[in-house]
Amino acid sequence: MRFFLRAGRSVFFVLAIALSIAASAQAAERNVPGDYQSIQLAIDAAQPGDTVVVGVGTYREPIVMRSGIILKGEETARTLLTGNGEKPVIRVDGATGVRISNFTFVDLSSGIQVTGNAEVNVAANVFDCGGGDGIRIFDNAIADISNNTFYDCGTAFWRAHDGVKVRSNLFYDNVTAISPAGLNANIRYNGFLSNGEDGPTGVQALLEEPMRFISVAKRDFHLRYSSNVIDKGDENDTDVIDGTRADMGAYGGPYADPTPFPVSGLSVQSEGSDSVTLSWEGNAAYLIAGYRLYYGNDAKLQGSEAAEGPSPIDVGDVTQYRLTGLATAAPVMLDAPRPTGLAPSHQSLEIGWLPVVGASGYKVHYGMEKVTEKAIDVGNRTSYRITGLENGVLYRVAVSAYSQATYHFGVTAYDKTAERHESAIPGESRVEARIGEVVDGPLSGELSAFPEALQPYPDLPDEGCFVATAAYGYYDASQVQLLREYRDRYLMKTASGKWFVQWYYTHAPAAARWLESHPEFKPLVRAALFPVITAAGLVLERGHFYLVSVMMLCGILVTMAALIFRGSGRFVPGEE
Amino acid sequence: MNRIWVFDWRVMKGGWGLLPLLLLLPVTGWASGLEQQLPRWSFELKGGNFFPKEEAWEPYYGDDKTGRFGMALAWKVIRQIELGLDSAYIKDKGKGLAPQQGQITGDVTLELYPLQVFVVARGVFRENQWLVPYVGGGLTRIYYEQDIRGQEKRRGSATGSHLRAGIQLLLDNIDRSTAWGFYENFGVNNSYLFVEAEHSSVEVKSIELGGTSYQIGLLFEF
Repeated sequence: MRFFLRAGRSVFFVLAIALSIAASAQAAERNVPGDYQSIQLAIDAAQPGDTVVVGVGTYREPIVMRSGIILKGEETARTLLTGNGEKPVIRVDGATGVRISNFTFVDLSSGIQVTGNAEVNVAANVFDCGGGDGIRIFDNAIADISNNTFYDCGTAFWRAHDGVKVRSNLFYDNVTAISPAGLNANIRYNGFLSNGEDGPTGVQALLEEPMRFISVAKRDFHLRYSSNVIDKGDENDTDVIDGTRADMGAYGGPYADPTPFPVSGLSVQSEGSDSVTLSWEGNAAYLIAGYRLYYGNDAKLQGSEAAEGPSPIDVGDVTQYRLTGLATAAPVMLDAPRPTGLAPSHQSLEIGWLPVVGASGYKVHYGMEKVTEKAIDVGNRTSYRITGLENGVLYRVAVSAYSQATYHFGVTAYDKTAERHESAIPGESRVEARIGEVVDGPLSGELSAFPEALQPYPDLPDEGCFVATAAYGYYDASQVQLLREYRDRYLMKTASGKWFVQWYYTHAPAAARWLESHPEFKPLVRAALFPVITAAGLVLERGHFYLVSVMMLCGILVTMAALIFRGSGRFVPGEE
Repeated sequence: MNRIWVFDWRVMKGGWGLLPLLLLLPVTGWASGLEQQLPRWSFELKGGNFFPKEEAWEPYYGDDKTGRFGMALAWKVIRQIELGLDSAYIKDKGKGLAPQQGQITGDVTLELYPLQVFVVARGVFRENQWLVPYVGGGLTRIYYEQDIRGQEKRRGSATGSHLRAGIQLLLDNIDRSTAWGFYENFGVNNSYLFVEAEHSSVEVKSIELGGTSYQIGLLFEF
């Protein structure tokens, strides 16, 4: 009998192992938005053990986790989950075996809410809360909250019991870092800086030590060389990026995203016929070792003609690089563009044309005697409005295409690890430039027209600024113009301003008529309008802040004068 | 012996013309046991198309109509007669005329803000009446703004008159419990879906700013 029991147990054990191997072999990666339109659809389709990988982008949807699912962002810094009204962005209600990592949560009411008997690991995320709450753990839920960065949260982290582990996180500039007070167990190796209230800080905490993020404004929470939280995370954890003791914060620990933050501020300067100088902002993250420069004739950036070598070129730890020997494209025989029309309007003419094959840009030519008097490089577009012209004067207008080599450039940052983790090349890390010889195509046929003021339909009269016009006698008075400009630039851009203008237009005509029939009151109205016109002028010239400053200064001066006057009134009789 | 009642469709032959009158009748059974105070106000939200009276609209604006959105609040003098205020917003984008060259070109944006004071008579004969016809009219003042790109903005206003007529469908009869909840929670006695035609005439220096509007909307009595 015992033999059969042992045999049964062995068979069950072998079967369990086989099933678990089979399950792990079937664990799949499900990509959003590649395979599924939304994160929730991917989670609903996933089996326990699957990983849902969310691609770079911004997502606004309520997410409910299911047991055994790993939810992971493609890049921490560029995979954004945004707030969803009052609801939490992610809810884990009783689900077990859940991991949420590598996201940046932004503009939250509430980031993650864990309830019931859930078991969850939240690791390597950034919570840029925008005043909302980061993570809230309710009921008997078990959680390991490690290597997250919490910034600008109302309450960054709240837990119902002290069984929840809080490790290697950074809490910076939150109203409350950890709540409630009194639950101090299982809080280890966290950093606290500039919070309104730290709450329980546990053991091995770093209090008010410089964290030195790269740029909070750009949501780059990588650490600089001088940061005091490098290698200060949980001593039992290792950084997946460089293999040293875990850093504190979202870019440390076993689940950290190794991808560097993208390079920004890229600009290009053409030099001569075949050279360019590229400049960019340095990435000051402490693991960054250098940069790679990509180039090519198209967005694929696979050029090979530069004297410095084929794309990409490892340019080392510099923020400026000169690329020479770029071959300019062979001249292309261009056709003349076909104009589609020349539309007159007030002091301007707008010409349109059909695109020309092979053109990298267009020039608009115009003049009064000859069409070639002036030329404007308008870039790669198919219509252009020539402004600053004189009404009633006949202009000749034509357009030509030109061809010039166009190069695209991109710069990435890479780190000092053996894997040389490299940043992506999003739009802000790219730039293009036209270099080399310009090959002009022939002029299009000429069109001629003269600018003239347009007559709208229906041709309604402008009743202008009624009271001021009546007070100053004529519509074009500078004071009237000034009030009109203030109306257009400021009042008509706010709801209250529009309401005031409507109210004014309702009542002012009657007031203006009365003023016209009682001209003796005009000086009085002009005097009354003087401070209004002065204030409008100040705002138009210097802005509202300046006006408020002047008014406050005047208020202070008047108050001081009143106090002095009252003071002298009280004391002078006494002295006598 | 129980008699089984079977509806004979033949009784309806030639009687279709009576259907609108039947719809004017109240739904007495549903309302039994529920008491509401009579409404004193009505509020409506509506939108639709505005067909300007000026004839050359289409070449300049690409269409002979444009969108119109509005709201109105009215006080019930008696159950059937209301005095109200209606405000609306009309916008159209088009082109202007280069008069010497005869070209229609450029960019012109026209915005109209009609403000109306009106009297309306609603054909309410019974509470819970399915269909309520109404007619009304009053004064219209239109505030306008014309933005000619690269040139000046023109603003002004003009006064005229309007007539309106429409028909309301009582939504409460479709779902009485929701309607009762609406009354208990928000004090709304009746909710209607309505269609309305309105004709206005507003002249400014021999230019007609009025036109005909066809709108659909929701009316709440409270």
